Amino acid sequence: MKPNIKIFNKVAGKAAFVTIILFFVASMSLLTGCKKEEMPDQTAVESSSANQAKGSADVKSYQSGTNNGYFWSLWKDDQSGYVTYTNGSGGNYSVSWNYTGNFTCGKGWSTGSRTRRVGYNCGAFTNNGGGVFGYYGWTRSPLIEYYVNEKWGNNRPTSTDRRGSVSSDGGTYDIYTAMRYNAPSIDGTQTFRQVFSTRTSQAPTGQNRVITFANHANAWANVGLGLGSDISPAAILLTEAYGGSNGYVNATVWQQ
Amino acid sequence: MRILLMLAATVLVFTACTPKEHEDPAFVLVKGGAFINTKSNLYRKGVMVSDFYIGRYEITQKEWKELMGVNPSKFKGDSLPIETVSWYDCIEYCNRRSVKEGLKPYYSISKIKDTVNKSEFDSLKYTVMIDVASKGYRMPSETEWEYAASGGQKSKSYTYSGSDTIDDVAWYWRNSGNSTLKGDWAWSLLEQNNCQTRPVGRKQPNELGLYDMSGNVREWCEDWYEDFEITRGLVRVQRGGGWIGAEYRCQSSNRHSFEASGLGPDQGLRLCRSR
Repeated sequence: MKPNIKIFNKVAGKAAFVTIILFFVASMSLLTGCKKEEMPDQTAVESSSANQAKGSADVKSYQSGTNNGYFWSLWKDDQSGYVTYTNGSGGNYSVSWNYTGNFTCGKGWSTGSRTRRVGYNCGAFTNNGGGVFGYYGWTRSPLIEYYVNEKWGNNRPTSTDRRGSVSSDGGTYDIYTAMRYNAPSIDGTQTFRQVFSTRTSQAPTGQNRVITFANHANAWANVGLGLGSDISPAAILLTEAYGGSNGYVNATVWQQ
Repeated sequence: MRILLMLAATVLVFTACTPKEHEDPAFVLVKGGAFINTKSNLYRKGVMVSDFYIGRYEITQKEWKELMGVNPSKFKGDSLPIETVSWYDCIEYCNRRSVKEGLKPYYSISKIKDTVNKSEFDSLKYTVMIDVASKGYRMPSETEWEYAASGGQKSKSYTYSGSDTIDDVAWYWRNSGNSTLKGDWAWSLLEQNNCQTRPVGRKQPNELGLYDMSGNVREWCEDWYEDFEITRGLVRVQRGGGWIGAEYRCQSSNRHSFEASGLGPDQGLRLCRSR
């Protein structure tokens, strides 16, 4: 959520998501296994060689792929330190970092949806610096970047343009918007809007949670922040960090 | 003998009736007619285009500097296309070029706010009026642009302007840097690969002899952009794709837009004139 060039890069990176086919039946059994009340099983993290084969681990720039039927991606700038992203079982992923720059990563779906109910469990969350954890995607026509922020690092993500609030899934969120001017994108240089809901207090760790995305999309539309007509670009359970930080996140996502 | 004399007379009459063509070889006379490119948005839509002149190349930084005295481009080079120019900048350039060549300017510009302009992002909102009788320099209409890009009456129904193979005709995100990029689009990749604009006219021209209609820089058109969800008065048309954008943006039929005050290192201009 930090308004800097990194956001442009990240948006641009998301713009290159490839189309995938979800292996629905196989995914369901894996997803069911992820719906635990306790912290996701750390032993589910695969070995480093397996991680490499699945496009995880210490990469530069932008990578994405499919893991257990879920879309995943990792983008980072070329700063010093490390970011280690690991795909786990089902919709699980973990990321640990000690990094001076910015990165985004996460797991989710190759296409967005206005009606998706996003189930997730953030089993571990530490971020000693700037960054957010939540549901993230973007639309075209027009180009709009959206976030539902569940957790964050040192600072709660806000903007100077607050448009109201929305209650959903047992929490209260403030609605914010911000503009990105003349920023590079897959469409060329564009001006686009960011729209985001941020919980008034951080979501708890180690619980099965739900994000009913339609509640947010509808609330945004009601305050003049309707999403674009094309919501086909990917949407993920995002971990993002910026400005120099260290931390660890282990989270699992599923379709509720 | 009589037949020869009649032929000579016919040629003389025809020559006398033909308007003086544009003397600048950097301009191409586009013969009007209906769209024959089957991939065009306006194919078989009953749209007829009049003859017009259009620049063979995108306006270069050398041309811009000579008239405007400044060069706002991010990537510097005389033969590189001008970029980081707004729609309003281009209006001003057209007029200055007209004046320089003794033509009546096509546009008049007022800093009074344009009441039609409803853009929340356009920080200028100047009022721009046109003189339809003027033969001065102007931006192409969107229809003219697409007609020219799709090959006019010489069209071979290519997807990109002059080819179905994008690399033949366009500088775009994959080929505008040090090496050919593979995989998915990511801005960080373009930065690391030093992707940027390229000298005009280095790729294959299209059927009309026009270069870089696909790729290099996106080209402003005169019109407001309108479609089923974007109403008149929000953004201006730009076409052709540029070095940053994806392949689909370089297709001759692809429509796109930007607020008139928008600036980008992939946003330039190609001139046009009524016949």
